[in-house]
Amino acid sequence: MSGADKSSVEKRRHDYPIVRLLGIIGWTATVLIAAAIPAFYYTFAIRSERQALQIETAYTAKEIQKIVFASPELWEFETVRLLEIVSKRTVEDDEDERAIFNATGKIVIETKSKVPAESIASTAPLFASGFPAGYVQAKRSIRDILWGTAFAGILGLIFGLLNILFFNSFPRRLLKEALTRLSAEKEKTEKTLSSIGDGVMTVDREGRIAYMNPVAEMCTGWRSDEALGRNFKDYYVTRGESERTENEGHAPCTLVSRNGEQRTIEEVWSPIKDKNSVEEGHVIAFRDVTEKRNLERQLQQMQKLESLGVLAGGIAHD
Amino acid sequence: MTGSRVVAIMTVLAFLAPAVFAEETIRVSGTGAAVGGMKLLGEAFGKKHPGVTVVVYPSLGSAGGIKAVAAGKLDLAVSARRVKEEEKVPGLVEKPYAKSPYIFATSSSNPASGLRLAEIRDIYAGKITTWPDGRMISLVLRPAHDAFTGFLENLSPEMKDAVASSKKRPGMFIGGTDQDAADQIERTPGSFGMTSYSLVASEKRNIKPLAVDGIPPAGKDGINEKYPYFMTLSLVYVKDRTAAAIGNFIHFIASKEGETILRMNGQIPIGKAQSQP
Repeated sequence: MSGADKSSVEKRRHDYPIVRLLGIIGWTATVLIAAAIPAFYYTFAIRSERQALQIETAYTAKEIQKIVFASPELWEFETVRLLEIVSKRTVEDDEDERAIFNATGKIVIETKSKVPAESIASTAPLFASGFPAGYVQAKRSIRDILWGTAFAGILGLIFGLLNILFFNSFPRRLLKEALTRLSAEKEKTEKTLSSIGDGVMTVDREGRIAYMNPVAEMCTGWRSDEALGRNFKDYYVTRGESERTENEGHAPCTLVSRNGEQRTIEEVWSPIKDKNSVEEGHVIAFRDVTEKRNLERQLQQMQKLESLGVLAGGIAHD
Repeated sequence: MTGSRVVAIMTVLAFLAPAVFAEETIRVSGTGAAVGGMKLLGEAFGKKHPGVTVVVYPSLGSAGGIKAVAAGKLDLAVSARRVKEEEKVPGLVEKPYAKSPYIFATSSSNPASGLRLAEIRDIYAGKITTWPDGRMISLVLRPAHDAFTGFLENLSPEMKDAVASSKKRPGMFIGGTDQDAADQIERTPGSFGMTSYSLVASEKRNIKPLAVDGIPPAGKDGINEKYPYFMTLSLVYVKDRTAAAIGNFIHFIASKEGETILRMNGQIPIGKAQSQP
Protein backbone atom coordinates (compact mmCIF):
# COMPACT_ATOMS: atom_id res chain seq x y z
CA MET A 1 0.00 0.00 0.00
CA SER A 2 1.43 3.45 -0.97
CA GLY A 3 1.98 6.25 1.53
CA ALA A 4 -1.02 8.18 0.26
CA ASP A 5 -3.13 5.06 0.46
CA LYS A 6 -1.92 4.41 3.99
CA SER A 7 -2.80 7.87 5.24
CA SER A 8 -6.16 7.60 3.53
CA VAL A 9 -6.78 4.29 5.21
CA GLU A 10 -5.68 5.73 8.57
CA LYS A 11 -8.10 8.60 8.16
CA ARG A 12 -10.87 6.23 7.34
CA ARG A 13 -10.04 4.12 10.40
CA HIS A 14 -11.40 6.82 12.68
CA ASP A 15 -14.43 7.67 10.60
CA TYR A 16 -16.52 4.51 10.95
CA PRO A 17 -19.83 5.29 12.67
CA ILE A 18 -20.25 1.72 13.87
CA VAL A 19 -16.86 1.81 15.53
CA ARG A 20 -17.66 5.17 17.10
CA LEU A 21 -20.97 3.74 18.30
CA LEU A 22 -19.19 0.77 19.81
CA GLY A 23 -16.84 3.18 21.52
CA ILE A 24 -19.76 5.17 22.94
CA ILE A 25 -21.36 1.95 24.18
CA GLY A 26 -18.05 0.93 25.73
CA TRP A 27 -17.63 4.23 27.56
CA THR A 28 -21.25 4.24 28.65
CA ALA A 29 -20.84 0.74 30.04
CA THR A 30 -17.66 1.86 31.79
CA VAL A 31 -19.38 4.81 33.44
CA LEU A 32 -22.31 2.62 34.44
CA ILE A 33 -20.03 -0.04 35.91
CA ALA A 34 -17.91 2.54 37.73
CA ALA A 35 -21.04 4.18 39.17
CA ALA A 36 -23.17 1.09 39.70
CA ILE A 37 -20.77 -0.88 41.89
CA PRO A 38 -20.41 1.79 44.60
CA ALA A 39 -24.06 2.79 44.24
CA PHE A 40 -25.24 -0.78 44.81
CA TYR A 41 -22.86 -1.27 47.69
CA TYR A 42 -23.94 1.97 49.39
CA THR A 43 -27.64 1.28 48.86
CA PHE A 44 -27.56 -2.22 50.23
CA ALA A 45 -25.14 -1.46 53.05
CA ILE A 46 -27.21 1.51 54.25
CA ARG A 47 -30.39 -0.51 53.99
CA SER A 48 -28.90 -3.37 55.97
CA GLU A 49 -27.49 -1.04 58.62
CA ARG A 50 -30.77 0.82 58.91
CA GLN A 51 -32.71 -2.41 59.37
CA ALA A 52 -30.27 -3.62 62.01
CA LEU A 53 -30.51 -0.31 63.84
CA GLN A 54 -34.31 -0.38 63.71
CA ILE A 55 -34.34 -3.86 65.21
CA GLU A 56 -31.90 -2.88 67.95
CA THR A 57 -33.83 0.28 68.75
CA ALA A 58 -37.10 -1.63 68.93
CA TYR A 59 -35.49 -4.18 71.25
CA THR A 60 -34.07 -1.45 73.46
CA ALA A 61 -37.48 0.21 73.60
CA LYS A 62 -39.03 -3.11 74.57
CA GLU A 63 -36.62 -3.46 77.48
CA ILE A 64 -37.31 0.09 78.62
CA GLN A 65 -41.03 -0.44 78.19
CA LYS A 66 -40.90 -2.96 81.05
CA ILE A 67 -39.57 -0.25 83.33
CA VAL A 68 -42.15 2.25 82.10
CA PHE A 69 -44.91 -0.29 82.69
CA ALA A 70 -43.69 -1.08 86.21
CA SER A 71 -43.31 2.57 87.20
CA PRO A 72 -45.20 4.92 84.88
CA GLU A 73 -44.71 8.00 87.11
CA LEU A 74 -41.07 7.47 88.04
CA TRP A 75 -39.57 5.48 85.17
CA GLU A 76 -37.51 8.49 84.06
CA PHE A 77 -35.54 8.32 87.32
CA GLU A 78 -34.43 4.70 86.94
CA THR A 79 -31.08 6.09 85.89
CA VAL A 80 -28.92 3.05 86.52
CA ARG A 81 -31.21 0.55 84.83
CA LEU A 82 -31.90 2.80 81.85
CA LEU A 83 -28.22 3.50 81.36
CA GLU A 84 -27.48 -0.21 81.55
CA ILE A 85 -30.04 -0.92 78.81
CA VAL A 86 -28.96 1.81 76.40
CA SER A 87 -25.32 0.86 76.92
CA LYS A 88 -25.92 -2.58 75.42
CA ARG A 89 -24.80 -2.23 71.82
CA THR A 90 -23.53 -4.45 69.06
CA VAL A 91 -20.91 -1.97 67.81
CA GLU A 92 -18.07 0.05 69.30
CA ASP A 93 -19.01 3.00 71.51
CA ASP A 94 -17.80 5.65 69.09
CA GLU A 95 -20.03 4.25 66.33
CA ASP A 96 -23.28 4.40 68.25
CA GLU A 97 -25.20 6.97 70.26
CA ARG A 98 -28.40 6.33 72.24
CA ALA A 99 -30.77 8.59 74.11
CA ILE A 100 -34.11 8.27 75.85
CA PHE A 101 -36.60 11.13 75.72
CA ASN A 102 -39.71 11.60 77.82
CA ALA A 103 -43.14 12.58 76.56
CA THR A 104 -42.22 16.28 76.46
CA GLY A 105 -39.11 15.63 74.40
CA LYS A 106 -36.70 16.22 77.26
CA ILE A 107 -33.68 13.96 77.44
CA VAL A 108 -33.98 11.41 80.24
CA ILE A 109 -30.65 9.75 79.71
CA GLU A 110 -28.04 9.46 76.97
CA THR A 111 -24.82 7.62 76.31
CA LYS A 112 -21.60 9.59 76.50
CA SER A 113 -20.45 8.53 73.03
CA LYS A 114 -21.27 10.89 70.16
CA VAL A 115 -21.33 9.80 66.54
CA PRO A 116 -20.07 11.98 63.69
CA ALA A 117 -22.42 13.86 61.38
CA GLU A 118 -22.37 11.00 58.88
CA SER A 119 -24.86 8.79 60.64
CA ILE A 120 -28.30 7.23 60.40
CA ALA A 121 -30.94 7.40 63.12
CA SER A 122 -33.83 5.29 64.31
CA THR A 123 -36.50 5.94 66.93
CA ALA A 124 -38.94 3.72 68.77
CA PRO A 125 -41.80 5.00 70.91
CA LEU A 126 -42.48 4.26 74.55
CA PHE A 127 -45.96 4.01 75.98
CA ALA A 128 -47.46 3.98 79.45
CA SER A 129 -50.71 2.04 79.31
CA GLY A 130 -51.28 3.13 75.74
CA PHE A 131 -50.32 6.78 76.22
CA PRO A 132 -47.09 8.18 74.81
CA ALA A 133 -44.41 8.21 77.47
CA GLY A 134 -41.42 9.11 75.32
CA TYR A 135 -39.15 7.51 72.79
CA VAL A 136 -35.75 5.93 72.30
CA GLN A 137 -33.43 7.33 69.69
CA ALA A 138 -30.37 5.57 68.35
CA LYS A 139 -27.80 6.98 65.95
CA ARG A 140 -25.14 4.99 64.20
CA SER A 141 -22.11 6.16 62.29
CA ILE A 142 -21.93 5.24 58.61
CA ARG A 143 -18.29 6.17 58.18
CA ASP A 144 -17.37 2.54 57.61
CA ILE A 145 -19.99 2.34 54.89
CA LEU A 146 -18.67 5.50 53.27
CA TRP A 147 -15.17 4.08 53.29
CA GLY A 148 -16.53 0.87 51.84
CA THR A 149 -18.31 2.87 49.14
CA ALA A 150 -15.08 4.63 48.27
CA PHE A 151 -13.34 1.29 47.99
CA ALA A 152 -16.19 -0.05 45.86
CA GLY A 153 -15.82 3.05 43.69
CA ILE A 154 -12.17 2.21 43.13
CA LEU A 155 -13.15 -1.34 42.22
CA GLY A 156 -15.79 0.05 39.88
CA LEU A 157 -13.20 2.23 38.18
CA ILE A 158 -10.89 -0.75 37.77
CA PHE A 159 -13.64 -2.90 36.28
CA GLY A 160 -14.73 -0.02 34.11
CA LEU A 161 -11.22 0.44 32.78
CA LEU A 162 -10.97 -3.29 32.15
CA ASN A 163 -14.23 -3.01 30.24
CA ILE A 164 -12.83 -0.20 28.12
CA LEU A 165 -9.66 -2.16 27.43
CA PHE A 166 -11.76 -5.13 26.41
CA PHE A 167 -13.85 -3.09 24.02
CA ASN A 168 -10.84 -1.36 22.54
CA SER A 169 -8.56 -4.32 22.31
CA PHE A 170 -10.89 -6.95 20.97
CA PRO A 171 -14.22 -6.41 19.23
CA ARG A 172 -13.68 -2.77 18.42
CA ARG A 173 -10.17 -3.31 17.18
CA LEU A 174 -11.21 -6.34 15.13
CA LEU A 175 -14.11 -4.39 13.69
CA LYS A 176 -11.88 -1.44 12.90
CA GLU A 177 -9.36 -3.64 11.12
CA ALA A 178 -12.05 -5.46 9.15
CA LEU A 179 -13.66 -2.21 8.11
CA THR A 180 -10.30 -0.76 7.20
CA ARG A 181 -9.46 -3.76 5.02
CA LEU A 182 -12.87 -3.57 3.43
CA SER A 183 -12.46 0.11 2.79
CA ALA A 184 -9.05 -0.45 1.23
CA GLU A 185 -10.44 -3.14 -1.05
CA LYS A 186 -13.30 -0.93 -2.04
CA GLU A 187 -10.96 1.91 -2.81
CA LYS A 188 -8.75 -0.36 -4.88
CA THR A 189 -11.70 -1.60 -6.84
CA GLU A 190 -12.93 1.92 -7.42
CA LYS A 191 -9.52 3.00 -8.68
CA THR A 192 -9.37 0.03 -11.01
CA LEU A 193 -12.79 0.77 -12.39
CA SER A 194 -11.91 4.41 -12.74
CA SER A 195 -8.79 3.58 -14.68
CA ILE A 196 -10.31 1.39 -17.37
CA GLY A 197 -11.38 2.94 -20.70
CA ASP A 198 -14.89 1.49 -20.74
CA GLY A 199 -17.94 2.84 -19.04
CA VAL A 200 -19.07 0.73 -16.06
CA MET A 201 -22.31 1.04 -14.18
CA THR A 202 -23.87 -1.22 -11.56
CA VAL A 203 -27.56 -1.32 -10.88
CA ASP A 204 -29.46 -3.19 -8.17
CA ARG A 205 -32.34 -5.53 -8.76
CA GLU A 206 -34.78 -2.60 -8.75
CA GLY A 207 -32.76 -0.91 -11.46
CA ARG A 208 -31.31 1.78 -9.21
CA ILE A 209 -27.83 2.96 -10.07
CA ALA A 210 -25.30 1.88 -7.46
CA TYR A 211 -22.09 2.88 -9.21
CA MET A 212 -20.87 4.83 -12.27
CA ASN A 213 -17.24 5.13 -13.25
CA PRO A 214 -15.83 8.33 -14.74
CA VAL A 215 -16.15 7.05 -18.34
CA ALA A 216 -19.85 6.31 -17.72
CA GLU A 217 -20.26 9.79 -16.29
CA MET A 218 -18.61 11.32 -19.32
CA CYS A 219 -20.65 9.29 -21.83
CA THR A 220 -24.03 9.77 -20.13
CA GLY A 221 -23.37 13.36 -19.14
CA TRP A 222 -24.49 12.69 -15.52
CA ARG A 223 -22.30 12.83 -12.42
CA SER A 224 -22.52 9.79 -10.17
CA ASP A 225 -23.76 11.84 -7.21
CA GLU A 226 -26.67 12.98 -9.38
CA ALA A 227 -27.56 9.52 -10.61
CA LEU A 228 -26.84 7.24 -7.65
CA GLY A 229 -29.95 5.64 -6.26
CA ARG A 230 -32.06 6.67 -9.28
CA ASN A 231 -33.51 4.45 -11.95
CA PHE A 232 -30.86 3.78 -14.60
CA LYS A 233 -33.32 4.22 -17.49
CA ASP A 234 -33.50 7.93 -16.71
CA TYR A 235 -29.74 8.33 -16.94
CA TYR A 236 -28.64 5.58 -19.37
CA VAL A 237 -30.79 6.30 -22.42
CA THR A 238 -30.21 4.00 -25.39
CA ARG A 239 -31.83 3.45 -28.78
CA GLY A 240 -31.79 0.56 -31.18
CA GLU A 241 -31.12 -2.10 -28.48
CA SER A 242 -31.06 -5.71 -29.40
CA GLU A 243 -32.25 -8.37 -27.03
CA ARG A 244 -29.99 -8.47 -24.06
CA THR A 245 -28.44 -11.77 -23.11
CA GLU A 246 -26.23 -12.36 -20.17
CA ASN A 247 -22.50 -11.98 -20.54
CA GLU A 248 -22.71 -11.65 -24.29
CA GLY A 249 -21.92 -8.72 -26.49
CA HIS A 250 -24.79 -6.86 -28.07
CA ALA A 251 -25.14 -5.28 -31.49
CA PRO A 252 -24.17 -1.65 -31.22
CA CYS A 253 -26.76 0.79 -30.05
CA THR A 254 -26.96 4.49 -29.58
CA LEU A 255 -26.40 6.14 -26.17
CA VAL A 256 -28.01 9.52 -25.85
CA SER A 257 -26.26 11.71 -23.32
CA ARG A 258 -27.76 14.35 -21.11
CA ASN A 259 -27.11 17.11 -23.65
CA GLY A 260 -28.47 15.05 -26.55
CA GLU A 261 -25.11 13.95 -27.84
CA GLN A 262 -25.33 10.54 -29.41
CA ARG A 263 -22.66 7.88 -29.21
CA THR A 264 -22.51 4.44 -30.67
CA ILE A 265 -21.74 1.96 -27.95
CA GLU A 266 -21.31 -1.74 -27.52
CA GLU A 267 -22.59 -2.90 -24.16
CA VAL A 268 -22.34 -6.10 -22.08
CA TRP A 269 -24.79 -6.83 -19.29
CA SER A 270 -23.52 -9.15 -16.56
CA PRO A 271 -25.68 -10.27 -13.57
CA ILE A 272 -24.50 -9.87 -9.99
CA LYS A 273 -25.51 -12.90 -7.94
CA ASP A 274 -25.09 -13.67 -4.24
CA LYS A 275 -23.72 -16.95 -2.87
CA ASN A 276 -27.14 -18.53 -3.31
CA SER A 277 -27.22 -17.52 -6.97
CA VAL A 278 -29.97 -15.02 -6.33
CA GLU A 279 -29.71 -12.05 -8.66
CA GLU A 280 -28.93 -8.83 -6.84
CA GLY A 281 -28.38 -6.56 -9.84
CA HIS A 282 -26.35 -6.06 -13.01
CA VAL A 283 -23.07 -4.67 -14.20
CA ILE A 284 -23.37 -2.74 -17.43
CA ALA A 285 -20.09 -2.34 -19.26
CA PHE A 286 -20.10 -0.37 -22.50
CA ARG A 287 -17.56 0.91 -24.96
CA ASP A 288 -17.85 3.99 -27.08
CA VAL A 289 -17.32 2.75 -30.65
CA THR A 290 -18.44 5.94 -32.38
CA GLU A 291 -14.96 6.73 -33.75
CA LYS A 292 -14.45 3.17 -34.73
CA ARG A 293 -17.71 3.13 -36.65
CA ASN A 294 -16.88 6.39 -38.31
CA LEU A 295 -13.51 5.06 -39.42
CA GLU A 296 -15.11 1.89 -40.74
CA ARG A 297 -17.56 3.92 -42.74
CA GLN A 298 -14.75 6.08 -44.14
CA LEU A 299 -12.77 3.00 -45.07
CA GLN A 300 -15.76 1.52 -46.82
CA GLN A 301 -16.27 4.78 -48.64
CA MET A 302 -12.65 4.83 -49.74
CA GLN A 303 -12.85 1.26 -50.85
CA LYS A 304 -15.90 2.11 -52.94
CA LEU A 305 -14.19 5.06 -54.50
CA GLU A 306 -11.13 2.98 -55.20
CA SER A 307 -13.24 0.34 -56.90
CA LEU A 308 -14.91 3.03 -59.04
CA GLY A 309 -11.50 4.44 -59.94
CA VAL A 310 -10.21 1.11 -61.19
CA LEU A 311 -13.33 0.60 -63.23
CA ALA A 312 -13.10 4.04 -64.79
CA GLY A 313 -9.44 3.46 -65.63
CA GLY A 314 -10.31 0.19 -67.35
CA ILE A 315 -13.00 1.76 -69.52
CA ALA A 316 -10.73 4.61 -70.54
CA HIS A 317 -8.06 2.21 -71.61
CA ASP A 318 -10.48 0.44 -73.73
CA MET B 1 -79.50 17.91 122.96
CA THR B 2 -82.10 19.03 120.55
CA GLY B 3 -82.22 17.62 117.06
CA SER B 4 -81.39 20.95 115.50
CA ARG B 5 -78.21 21.26 117.56
CA VAL B 6 -77.15 17.79 116.53
CA VAL B 7 -77.64 18.71 112.92
CA ALA B 8 -75.67 21.93 113.41
CA ILE B 9 -72.76 20.13 115.07
CA MET B 10 -72.73 17.46 112.40
CA THR B 11 -72.68 20.13 109.70
CA VAL B 12 -69.72 21.88 111.29
CA LEU B 13 -67.87 18.59 111.68
CA ALA B 14 -68.56 17.72 108.09
CA PHE B 15 -66.79 20.93 107.01
CA LEU B 16 -63.95 20.44 109.45
CA ALA B 17 -63.39 16.74 108.86
CA PRO B 18 -61.32 17.20 105.71
CA ALA B 19 -59.04 19.60 107.53
CA VAL B 20 -58.77 17.41 110.57
CA PHE B 21 -58.48 14.09 108.85
CA ALA B 22 -56.57 15.33 105.72
CA GLU B 23 -54.63 12.47 104.09
CA GLU B 24 -50.96 13.35 103.62
CA THR B 25 -48.62 11.28 101.53
CA ILE B 26 -44.90 11.10 101.84
CA ARG B 27 -43.30 9.70 98.67
CA VAL B 28 -40.06 7.82 99.27
CA SER B 29 -37.66 5.82 97.13
CA GLY B 30 -33.98 5.44 96.35
CA THR B 31 -31.39 2.76 96.90
CA GLY B 32 -32.70 -0.77 97.09
CA ALA B 33 -30.53 -1.26 100.15
CA ALA B 34 -32.85 0.98 102.15
CA VAL B 35 -36.36 0.74 100.67
CA GLY B 36 -37.15 -2.35 102.73
CA GLY B 37 -36.19 -0.54 105.92
CA MET B 38 -38.10 2.55 104.79
CA LYS B 39 -41.27 0.50 104.36
CA LEU B 40 -41.01 -0.75 107.92
CA LEU B 41 -40.28 2.76 109.22
CA GLY B 42 -43.18 4.08 107.16
CA GLU B 43 -45.60 1.54 108.56
CA ALA B 44 -44.55 2.30 112.10
CA PHE B 45 -44.78 6.04 111.48
CA GLY B 46 -48.19 5.66 109.90
CA LYS B 47 -49.51 3.94 112.97
CA LYS B 48 -48.41 6.89 115.07
CA HIS B 49 -49.65 9.46 112.59
CA PRO B 50 -52.99 8.51 111.15
CA GLY B 51 -53.69 10.52 108.09
CA VAL B 52 -50.10 10.35 106.92
CA THR B 53 -49.20 7.62 104.52
CA VAL B 54 -45.62 6.86 103.68
CA VAL B 55 -45.57 5.47 100.15
CA VAL B 56 -42.32 3.69 99.40
CA TYR B 57 -41.86 3.17 95.67
CA PRO B 58 -39.78 0.35 94.23
CA SER B 59 -36.08 1.02 94.15
CA LEU B 60 -34.92 3.72 91.73
CA GLY B 61 -31.34 3.47 92.86
CA SER B 62 -29.47 6.26 94.63
CA ALA B 63 -29.11 8.32 91.44
CA GLY B 64 -32.76 7.93 90.50
CA GLY B 65 -33.95 8.84 93.96
CA ILE B 66 -31.81 11.99 94.11
CA LYS B 67 -32.94 13.01 90.63
CA ALA B 68 -36.61 12.44 91.49
CA VAL B 69 -36.35 14.57 94.66
CA ALA B 70 -34.66 17.34 92.71
CA ALA B 71 -37.48 17.18 90.15
CA GLY B 72 -40.15 17.24 92.84
CA LYS B 73 -41.41 13.74 92.03
CA LEU B 74 -40.39 12.40 95.44
CA ASP B 75 -40.43 13.96 98.87
CA LEU B 76 -37.61 11.92 100.32
CA ALA B 77 -34.87 9.84 98.75
CA VAL B 78 -32.50 7.40 100.37
CA SER B 79 -29.04 7.23 98.89
CA ALA B 80 -26.16 4.80 99.41
CA ARG B 81 -23.62 7.32 98.12
CA ARG B 82 -22.77 10.99 98.33
CA VAL B 83 -24.77 13.42 96.24
CA LYS B 84 -22.66 14.59 93.28
CA GLU B 85 -22.12 18.26 92.51
CA GLU B 86 -24.07 18.05 89.29
CA GLU B 87 -27.04 16.52 91.11
CA LYS B 88 -27.39 19.37 93.63
CA VAL B 89 -30.27 21.82 93.38
CA PRO B 90 -30.95 24.82 95.64
CA GLY B 91 -32.13 23.67 99.04
CA LEU B 92 -31.08 20.03 98.58
CA VAL B 93 -30.16 18.50 101.92
CA GLU B 94 -28.17 15.30 102.39
CA LYS B 95 -28.43 13.78 105.87
CA PRO B 96 -26.70 10.48 106.75
CA TYR B 97 -28.87 8.46 109.03
CA ALA B 98 -27.49 4.90 109.05
CA LYS B 99 -24.82 2.58 107.76
CA SER B 100 -24.99 -1.01 106.63
CA PRO B 101 -22.47 -3.56 105.40
CA TYR B 102 -21.78 -4.19 101.74
CA ILE B 103 -21.94 -7.96 101.66
CA PHE B 104 -20.77 -10.70 99.35
CA ALA B 105 -23.56 -13.24 99.46
CA THR B 106 -24.72 -16.60 98.22
CA SER B 107 -27.90 -18.62 98.46
CA SER B 108 -28.73 -20.11 101.88
CA SER B 109 -28.35 -23.62 100.50
CA ASN B 110 -24.67 -23.06 99.77
CA PRO B 111 -22.46 -24.59 102.47
CA ALA B 112 -19.68 -22.00 101.85
CA SER B 113 -19.29 -19.49 104.68
CA GLY B 114 -16.56 -17.13 103.57
CA LEU B 115 -13.95 -16.16 100.99
CA ARG B 116 -10.70 -14.29 100.88
CA LEU B 117 -10.69 -11.01 99.01
CA ALA B 118 -8.19 -12.45 96.53
CA GLU B 119 -10.60 -15.31 95.83
CA ILE B 120 -13.43 -12.84 95.30
CA ARG B 121 -11.24 -11.03 92.79
CA ASP B 122 -10.48 -14.30 91.00
CA ILE B 123 -14.17 -15.17 90.87
CA TYR B 124 -14.88 -11.92 89.03
CA ALA B 125 -11.85 -12.49 86.80
CA GLY B 126 -13.19 -15.92 85.88
CA LYS B 127 -10.19 -17.74 87.33
CA ILE B 128 -12.25 -19.48 90.04
CA THR B 129 -15.44 -20.94 88.60
CA THR B 130 -16.58 -23.50 91.18
CA TRP B 131 -17.27 -23.65 94.90
CA PRO B 132 -15.23 -26.01 97.08
CA ASP B 133 -17.98 -28.60 96.75
CA GLY B 134 -17.62 -28.53 92.96
CA ARG B 135 -20.83 -26.64 92.22
CA MET B 136 -20.52 -23.94 89.54
CA ILE B 137 -20.37 -20.34 90.73
CA SER B 138 -23.29 -18.40 89.22
CA LEU B 139 -21.96 -14.87 89.34
CA VAL B 140 -24.58 -12.14 89.68
CA LEU B 141 -23.30 -8.82 88.40
CA ARG B 142 -24.46 -5.27 89.03
CA PRO B 143 -24.90 -2.53 86.42
CA ALA B 144 -21.87 -0.54 85.34
CA HIS B 145 -22.99 2.68 87.04
CA ASP B 146 -24.30 1.05 90.18
CA ALA B 147 -23.01 1.95 93.66
CA PHE B 148 -22.00 -1.68 94.28
CA THR B 149 -19.93 -1.78 91.08
CA GLY B 150 -18.34 1.49 92.10
CA PHE B 151 -17.53 0.05 95.53
CA LEU B 152 -15.86 -3.01 93.95
CA GLU B 153 -13.86 -0.94 91.47
CA ASN B 154 -12.55 1.22 94.29
CA LEU B 155 -11.21 -1.77 96.26
CA SER B 156 -8.16 -2.12 94.04
CA PRO B 157 -7.06 -1.73 90.41
CA GLU B 158 -6.91 -5.53 90.14
CA MET B 159 -10.49 -5.79 91.33
CA LYS B 160 -11.50 -3.11 88.83
CA ASP B 161 -9.93 -5.11 85.99
CA ALA B 162 -11.56 -8.29 87.25
CA VAL B 163 -15.00 -6.65 87.32
CA ALA B 164 -14.46 -5.27 83.80
CA SER B 165 -13.52 -8.70 82.49
CA SER B 166 -16.57 -10.28 84.13
CA LYS B 167 -18.87 -7.99 82.12
CA LYS B 168 -17.33 -9.15 78.87
CA ARG B 169 -18.20 -12.80 79.45
CA PRO B 170 -21.29 -13.85 77.48
CA GLY B 171 -24.52 -14.83 79.21
CA MET B 172 -23.82 -13.05 82.49
CA PHE B 173 -26.78 -12.05 84.63
CA ILE B 174 -26.89 -8.37 85.53
CA GLY B 175 -29.31 -7.42 88.30
CA GLY B 176 -30.81 -4.11 87.22
CA THR B 177 -31.91 -3.17 90.74
CA ASP B 178 -30.86 -4.26 94.22
CA GLN B 179 -34.00 -6.35 94.40
CA ASP B 180 -33.35 -8.02 91.03
CA ALA B 181 -29.86 -9.00 92.14
CA ALA B 182 -31.13 -10.24 95.50
CA ASP B 183 -33.83 -12.30 93.78
CA GLN B 184 -31.22 -13.99 91.61
CA ILE B 185 -28.83 -14.66 94.50
CA GLU B 186 -31.68 -16.03 96.59
CA ARG B 187 -33.06 -18.51 94.09
CA THR B 188 -29.92 -19.72 92.32
CA PRO B 189 -28.00 -22.53 93.95
CA GLY B 190 -24.31 -21.72 93.84
CA SER B 191 -24.94 -18.02 93.32
CA PHE B 192 -22.45 -15.31 94.25
CA GLY B 193 -22.98 -11.58 94.17
CA MET B 194 -23.07 -8.32 96.05
CA THR B 195 -25.97 -6.91 98.01
CA SER B 196 -26.53 -5.06 101.30
CA TYR B 197 -27.11 -6.48 104.71
CA SER B 198 -29.96 -3.99 105.22
CA LEU B 199 -31.83 -5.40 102.24
CA VAL B 200 -31.36 -9.01 103.33
CA ALA B 201 -32.52 -8.23 106.87
CA SER B 202 -35.43 -5.89 106.11
CA GLU B 203 -36.84 -8.06 103.33
CA LYS B 204 -36.14 -11.32 105.18
CA ARG B 205 -34.26 -12.77 102.24
CA ASN B 206 -33.01 -16.33 102.10
CA ILE B 207 -29.49 -15.13 101.43
CA LYS B 208 -26.28 -15.98 103.25
CA PRO B 209 -23.75 -13.17 103.81
CA LEU B 210 -20.18 -14.41 103.43
CA ALA B 211 -17.24 -13.53 105.63
CA VAL B 212 -14.40 -11.73 103.89
CA ASP B 213 -10.89 -12.62 104.97
CA GLY B 214 -12.41 -14.32 107.99
CA ILE B 215 -14.49 -11.34 109.13
CA PRO B 216 -18.27 -11.87 108.89
CA PRO B 217 -20.54 -8.83 108.34
CA ALA B 218 -22.95 -9.87 111.06
CA GLY B 219 -23.58 -12.49 113.69
CA LYS B 220 -26.05 -13.42 116.38
CA ASP B 221 -25.41 -10.09 118.11
CA GLY B 222 -26.12 -8.10 115.02
CA ILE B 223 -23.81 -6.23 112.69
CA ASN B 224 -20.09 -6.79 113.20
CA GLU B 225 -18.57 -3.30 113.32
CA LYS B 226 -15.13 -4.81 112.64
CA TYR B 227 -16.28 -5.75 109.17
CA PRO B 228 -14.42 -3.35 106.83
CA TYR B 229 -17.00 -2.60 104.15
CA PHE B 230 -19.89 -0.31 105.03
CA MET B 231 -22.20 1.92 103.02
CA THR B 232 -23.58 5.12 104.46
CA LEU B 233 -27.28 5.64 103.93
CA SER B 234 -28.46 9.23 103.66
CA LEU B 235 -31.80 10.95 103.49
CA VAL B 236 -32.03 13.43 100.62
CA TYR B 237 -34.73 16.07 100.42
CA VAL B 238 -35.28 19.67 99.38
CA LYS B 239 -35.59 21.82 102.47
CA ASP B 240 -38.00 24.45 101.17
CA ARG B 241 -40.42 21.88 99.85
CA THR B 242 -40.54 19.78 102.97
CA ALA B 243 -43.93 19.72 104.60
CA ALA B 244 -44.39 19.22 108.31
CA ALA B 245 -45.26 15.56 107.87
CA ILE B 246 -41.97 14.91 106.16
CA GLY B 247 -40.12 16.65 108.93
CA ASN B 248 -41.96 14.49 111.42
CA PHE B 249 -41.01 11.37 109.53
CA ILE B 250 -37.36 12.36 109.44
CA HIS B 251 -37.54 13.03 113.16
CA PHE B 252 -39.15 9.63 113.66
CA ILE B 253 -36.28 7.89 111.85
CA ALA B 254 -33.88 9.43 114.34
CA SER B 255 -36.06 8.57 117.30
CA LYS B 256 -35.49 5.61 119.59
CA GLU B 257 -38.23 3.67 117.90
CA GLY B 258 -36.81 4.47 114.50
CA GLU B 259 -33.33 3.48 115.55
CA THR B 260 -34.64 0.22 116.97
CA ILE B 261 -36.32 -0.56 113.65
CA LEU B 262 -33.08 0.24 111.87
CA ARG B 263 -31.00 -1.99 114.13
CA MET B 264 -33.43 -4.86 113.74
CA ASN B 265 -33.15 -4.55 109.99
CA GLY B 266 -29.45 -4.64 109.32
CA GLN B 267 -28.55 -0.98 109.83
CA ILE B 268 -26.56 0.95 112.42
CA PRO B 269 -28.09 4.38 113.14
CA ILE B 270 -25.71 7.33 112.78
CA GLY B 271 -26.34 9.72 115.68
CA LYS B 272 -29.54 11.79 115.78
CA ALA B 273 -31.02 13.32 112.65
CA GLN B 274 -32.29 16.87 113.04
CA SER B 275 -35.92 16.90 114.01
CA GLN B 276 -36.69 19.93 111.92
CA PRO B 277 -35.76 19.96 108.25
